[in-house]
Amino acid sequence: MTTTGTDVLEVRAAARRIRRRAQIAHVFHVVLGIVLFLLSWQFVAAPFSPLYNLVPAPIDAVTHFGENLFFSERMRERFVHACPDLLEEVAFQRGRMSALPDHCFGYVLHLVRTTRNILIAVGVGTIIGLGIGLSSLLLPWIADLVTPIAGFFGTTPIFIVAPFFVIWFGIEYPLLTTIGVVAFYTTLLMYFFSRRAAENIPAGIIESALTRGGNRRSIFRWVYLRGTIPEIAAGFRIALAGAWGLGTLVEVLGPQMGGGFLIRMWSYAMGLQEGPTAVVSLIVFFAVLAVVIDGILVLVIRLMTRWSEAGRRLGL
Amino acid sequence: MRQPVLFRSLFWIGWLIWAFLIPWLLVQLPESLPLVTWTHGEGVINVTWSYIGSGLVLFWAWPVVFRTSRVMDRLVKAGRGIAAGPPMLWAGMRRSPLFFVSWAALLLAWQVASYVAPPGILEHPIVPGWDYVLGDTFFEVSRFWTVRALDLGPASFALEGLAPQPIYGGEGTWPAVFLAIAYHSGLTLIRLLCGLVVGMTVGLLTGLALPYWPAVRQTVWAPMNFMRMIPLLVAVPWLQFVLGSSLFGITMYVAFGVWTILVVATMTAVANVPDRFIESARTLGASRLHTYLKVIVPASIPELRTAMLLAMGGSWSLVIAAEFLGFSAGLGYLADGAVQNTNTALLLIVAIIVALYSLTTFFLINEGFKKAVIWMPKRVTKTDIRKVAGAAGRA
Repeated sequence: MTTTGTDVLEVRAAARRIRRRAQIAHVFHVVLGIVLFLLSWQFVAAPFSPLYNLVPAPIDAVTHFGENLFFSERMRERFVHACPDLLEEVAFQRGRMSALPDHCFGYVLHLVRTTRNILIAVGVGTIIGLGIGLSSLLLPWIADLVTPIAGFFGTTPIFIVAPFFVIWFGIEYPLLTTIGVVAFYTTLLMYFFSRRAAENIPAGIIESALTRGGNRRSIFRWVYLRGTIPEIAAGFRIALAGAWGLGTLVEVLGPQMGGGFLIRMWSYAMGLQEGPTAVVSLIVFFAVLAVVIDGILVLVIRLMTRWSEAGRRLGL
Repeated sequence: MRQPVLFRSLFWIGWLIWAFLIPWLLVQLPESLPLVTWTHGEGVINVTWSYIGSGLVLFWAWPVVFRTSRVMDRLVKAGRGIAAGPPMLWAGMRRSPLFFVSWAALLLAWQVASYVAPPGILEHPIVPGWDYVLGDTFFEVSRFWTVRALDLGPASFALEGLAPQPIYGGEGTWPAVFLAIAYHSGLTLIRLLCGLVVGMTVGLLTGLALPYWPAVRQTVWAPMNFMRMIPLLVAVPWLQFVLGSSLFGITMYVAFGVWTILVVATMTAVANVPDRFIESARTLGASRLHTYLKVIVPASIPELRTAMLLAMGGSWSLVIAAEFLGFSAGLGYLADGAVQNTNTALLLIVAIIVALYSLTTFFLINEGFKKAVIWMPKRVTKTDIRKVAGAAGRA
C-alpha cells in the first residue's frame, strides 16, 4: 500500500490561489496595457511632438465627443442635421433649420442610425449567407453555382463595390445603400465560413453517424448544423468587426446621415483645429463600439459553445 | 544541378545592374540604325515603342545568355501549357459545367438588367450593357493617359511619343487606353507592394517577438485588439492629413492596416501551438529561447495562412481607399473619376481590373505560403462534403 504525505485539500487550495493570482495579474496587465496606450497617444499629441497639430490628445477627443453628442453648434452652422422628417414639418417656417430641436444637430442620432443599419445589415447578410452556405451542404450544385462568383466578388475591394450601391440607391434610398453594401459582404463571408466549417468537420464523425444509421437529413440536422456552430460563430465575429468599417465607409461616400457622413463633414474642416479632433473622436467611438459588441459576442458564443474546445478557447 | 548561392546571387545582382544600364546603353546606339527611332538630349529620353521593345529584348537577354537551358525549359513548358489550354478548358467545362453556367448567367443577367433598368437622368446608364462598357467606355479610358514625362532621378523619359493624349488635345487611341491602364495599375501595385512588404515584415516580427515575454503579450493584447477594430477605411481623410498624400504616406497607411491584422493573428498562432511540441523540446534539453525559435515559431507559421490572405484583402481595400480619396493617379483615382461622373461603366471596368489583380495576388500569396509550409504533413481528414452528402443520401 502506498501512502502520500500530501494533503489533497491543501493542493486544491494552492491551485486556487495560483489561479486567482494569475487572474489578478491578467487584469493588471490589461489595465497597464490600456494606460500605456493612452500615455503613448498623449505623448504623440503633446505640444513638443511634431504631430501636435495633427493628432488630438485622447482627452480632447473624448471632450469633443461628449460636448457634441446631444447638440453640436458646429453641425448647426453647417446645416447638418439628423431630422429629415421634422424638417418637412417645419418646411414653411422662416429659418427652418433653427426651428429644428437641438438634439437633431447632435451626433447621437447619426450614430444610432449607423449602428442600427449595420446591425440590420449584418443580420440580413448572415441569414442569407448561412442559408446559401448550409443549403449547399444538402444540395452541392448550389455551391458549384455560387462559389466562383462569390470568390470573385469576395476579393473585390469595398471601394470598388460601394460606389455601385451609392450610384444606384444614392441619397434617395440611403438605407438600401448602407444595408446593401454591408449585407453583401456579410453574405459572402458567412457563405465561405459555413462551407469551411462544414469541410473542417472530421470525416470520422460523419462516418460514425452513418454507421449509426444516419441519413442525409439527420446528419445535416445533428452533425453539420451543430458541428459548424463554433467556426460559424468565429466567422460572424469577423464579419461584424469588419461591418463597422464598411457601414461608416458607405456613409462617407454617399448618404446624408450617419456617423460616416459626420466624418465626411468634418474632413472638409481638417485644416481647422477642431477638424482632426472631431474625426478622431468619431473613429474612436466606432472602434470602442466594435470592441464592446465583440466582447459581448464572445461571452454569448462561449455560452453557446461550451461543449466545444474551439468555443472554450474563443477570445483568449 | 543547383548552382552555389554565390553564383545565384551574382546572377540576380547582375541582372538588376543590367536593368539599370539598359536605358543608358540604348541611348548610346547610333541613330542611323534601322530600329533606333528614339532621341535624347539634355538628360531627357524621348521614348518610342521601339525603345520599349529594344529595352525588353535587352532585359530578357540576360537570363537567355546566362541561363540558356533553364530559359529554354521554361519556354517549352509555357508552350506546352498554352497548347494544353483548350483541352483543359474543355475538361473543366465537362467536370464542373455549373461554374461556367453561373458566370454566363451572371453576365447575361447584367445585360438584361441594362435593358430593363430605367435610363435615369444621368449622362451614363445606371446599369450599362456590355456593349456600352467594352465599346465607348473602354475606349474613353484613353483620356486617363496624361503622363507627359517620368522623372526617375538620373534620367527623364518623355512619353508623349507613345500615344496622343486626349487631355492635351490629342485623339483617343487604343495604345493610349492600354498605357493608361498600365500606368495607373503600376502605381497602385507599387503602393500596394510597399505597404504590404513593410506591414508584413513588421507585423510578423512584432507578432512573433511579443509573445516571448508573457507579461508583454498580456499587456499589449488589449491595445492591439483595439487598434485592430479601428475602421481604418474611414480614417483615410485624417491619416492623409497626418501622413500626407505621398508614397511614404500611403505606405505607412497600408502598412499600419496590415500590421494590426498580422500582429494579433501571429500572437494567436503562437498561443495555439500544441503544448506537446514545447514539452517534447524542453524534455530533450532545449533552452527557452531555442524552443521558441526552433519549435514555436515554425509551428505557428501554418496557422498564418488565413491572416496573410486577410491582410492581402485589407491592403487592397486600403490602397484603393487612399487613392480614391486623396491621389491624382492610380486605380482608386480612376474609380473616383467614375463616381464623380456617375459613370458605372467605367467603374465596372476598374472593378474588373482590380478584381483580376486582387485574385492574382491572392493566388500568389497562397502559392508562396504553400511553398513556405511544404514541410507540414498534409491533413487527410478533411471532409469532402459532396462525397459525404452522397453517401448519406444512399444510406
